[in-house]
Amino acid sequence: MDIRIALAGNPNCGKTTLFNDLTGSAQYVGNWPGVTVERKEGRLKGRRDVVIEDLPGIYSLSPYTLEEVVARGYLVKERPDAILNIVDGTNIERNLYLTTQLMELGIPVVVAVNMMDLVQKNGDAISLDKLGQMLGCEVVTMSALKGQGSVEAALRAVKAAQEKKEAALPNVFTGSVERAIAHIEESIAEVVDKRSLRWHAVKLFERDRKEREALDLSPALKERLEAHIAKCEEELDDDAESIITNQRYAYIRRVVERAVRKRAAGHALTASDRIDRVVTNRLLALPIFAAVMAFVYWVSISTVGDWVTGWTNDVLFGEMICGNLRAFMEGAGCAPWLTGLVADGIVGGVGSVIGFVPQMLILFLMLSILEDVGYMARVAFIMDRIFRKFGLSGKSFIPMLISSGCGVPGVMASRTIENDRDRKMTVMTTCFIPCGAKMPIIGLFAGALFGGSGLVATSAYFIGVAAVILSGILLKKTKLFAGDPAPFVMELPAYHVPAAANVLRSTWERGWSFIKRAGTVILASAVILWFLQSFGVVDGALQMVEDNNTSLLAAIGNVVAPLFAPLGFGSWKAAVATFTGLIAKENVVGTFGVLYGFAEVAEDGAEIWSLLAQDFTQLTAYSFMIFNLLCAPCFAAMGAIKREMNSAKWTFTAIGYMCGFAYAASLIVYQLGMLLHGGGFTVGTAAAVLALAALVYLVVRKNRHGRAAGAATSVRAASLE
Amino acid sequence: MLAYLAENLPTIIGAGIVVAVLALIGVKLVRDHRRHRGGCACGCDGCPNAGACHPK
Repeated sequence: MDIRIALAGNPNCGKTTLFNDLTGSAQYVGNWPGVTVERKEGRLKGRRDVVIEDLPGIYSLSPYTLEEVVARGYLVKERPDAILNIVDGTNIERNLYLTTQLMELGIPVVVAVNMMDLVQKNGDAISLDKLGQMLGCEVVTMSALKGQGSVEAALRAVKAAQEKKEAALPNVFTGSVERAIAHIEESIAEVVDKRSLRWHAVKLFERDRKEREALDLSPALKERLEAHIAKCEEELDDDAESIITNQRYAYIRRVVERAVRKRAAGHALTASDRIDRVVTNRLLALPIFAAVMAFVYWVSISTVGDWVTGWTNDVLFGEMICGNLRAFMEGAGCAPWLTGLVADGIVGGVGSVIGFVPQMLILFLMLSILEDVGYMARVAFIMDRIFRKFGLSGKSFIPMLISSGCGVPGVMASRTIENDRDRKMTVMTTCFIPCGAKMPIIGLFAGALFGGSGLVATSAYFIGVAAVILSGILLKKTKLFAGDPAPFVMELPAYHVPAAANVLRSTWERGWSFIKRAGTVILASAVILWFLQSFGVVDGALQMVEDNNTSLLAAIGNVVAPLFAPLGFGSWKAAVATFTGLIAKENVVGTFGVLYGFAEVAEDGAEIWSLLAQDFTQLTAYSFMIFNLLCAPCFAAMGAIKREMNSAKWTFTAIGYMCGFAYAASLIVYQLGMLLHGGGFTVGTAAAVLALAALVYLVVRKNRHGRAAGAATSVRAASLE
Repeated sequence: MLAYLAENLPTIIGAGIVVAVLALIGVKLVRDHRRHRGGCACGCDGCPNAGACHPK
């Protein structure tokens, strides 16, 4: 029979790193709350009979957040054979709060103190013997990041599970609280699992809503329990929940006093503190963030990324693959249509997308390094300050951080937001952040029309952020979304050298998924597009056409193209690319690759995207880019939106809002840009002015449905140091 | 008939390969769709929310 070991601990204490180390899995490791929303399962390496369960990071077993509900549900209902409680040694006081609750479950517990290397570096010392004595369970040390002590800790938990050695209940509560809990235990002994009697009693004392619902006690019993609780509250002049919290912390203080030796107070700031003084400074934080993102996009689009992508496009696909393939097929005697399909359709479509993989990998590599080093966690904290002013919680920024990889997990990460209105608003806005699949669009226009400008690429990211902030302001002023933002608590991890394995794994997974999509969805789309753009009705018969402006695809595209004319890209090719982008955003580039003859141009050795540049001015290209970055996401992301909204009405509202916002933004940029370039005042300009006026009104109007923005006060961030 | 086949053999083989690749892609997309692997660009193996798409 399998032995099940649950990894439980506070967010960002190293559970997923440990899980990956123990099971050989490749779960995504992130240093912000909400990375692990569900529990994950894997088998211990070398011990197939041991199942390791990675639980979401939690601060307590109270059912306030989704993570807590998931972890608590598993621990209480499914009862693993043992709990390996990961405790961050640098924050032992706060981490032990959860430990005191885990002990009450009546499940064998082994405490693994993680980050001991940092504890020692800080000059602190933890006595494992004293800690174990006071807690009543075995205590071991480890460093999950370095893989030191991980397996030993897991094996100790396995041993505890085999011995069924339950943790001795620590003396957490005193006086009247202990008496009241003992009375409750007596009263409910017959209705709950005896092994976790203490836990149920404490939860009932706290008036835990979920526990009360789950136990369904008789009214008479409820009255009796309430009398015990009320008497204790009266005696201690506090509410039950606060009494429990205070006594837990009082107990933890006693434990820490005996088992932990802290370096003398008043010690100098750590390196992380010193860096944070600058990067999270009220005035400097945003400019630094803008500079960092500008650097990231500049490197990935303009410099290293541009060279590598240039080589991939011109040499690898242009000369080596496409040129040789065409020559080979023509030499072998293949029909011209087949040569055209393979070289212009498949290689043109897929190659144009794959060409951007190097830029994407470099971008993902740099974002992964920023994540792993701990900077992105700071960005969430910085953005919380800004978002809160506009009615959004910093918690909404976590899905947006994830969305920079792919919108689908980004949308799904919004489920950690408890407030339903904030959650829906986050779902509606999170896809504004350019995902990896939108990178080729940015790279294409930055390269083809702006000379590989890093500024254009950076602006694409900040257009997404601005769209989120503007949407937050204007939606919060509507009845549907009004209300105070939810509190956001997160830890700022100490800066550390990024773990190469984490960074490379994260980069590779994103890149490999992109390549797989290019080889499947994009390839199939390219074939269909090539047929539609190569055949047309000539003299009443369907036949191949020389000029794709007379093709079937042109006929279809011309029907919808006028819709985009006010945005500056009313050509059928741009319209078709916008629509095929709904299949997958990188398909926009694949479509251009097929329609503009990527392969032929490359073979001539000319600038690959020069033909594209003939159909777009810088202004129309920028307008096209804005629209495609902000409009409805791909079908996969739309599916995720549908799942998270769980309502057809809300799904259409979300997608309609994105498209409407994208159209308005694009219209304003193009029409006012034309006006500034001497295009004269036209009907389109009037429409853009009206759209801008409406947007400004919606943003600055008085909030009649909620408290004044910026009134919330519950921003809390705790440094690990 | 044989002469036609011999004359167009490279085209027939080439077209056959393209059709086979497309068929494989079609099968993979249908299979992924059935397994709720909806084609997101992040992969499922390391996704923290994979359970939402692939309930056990």
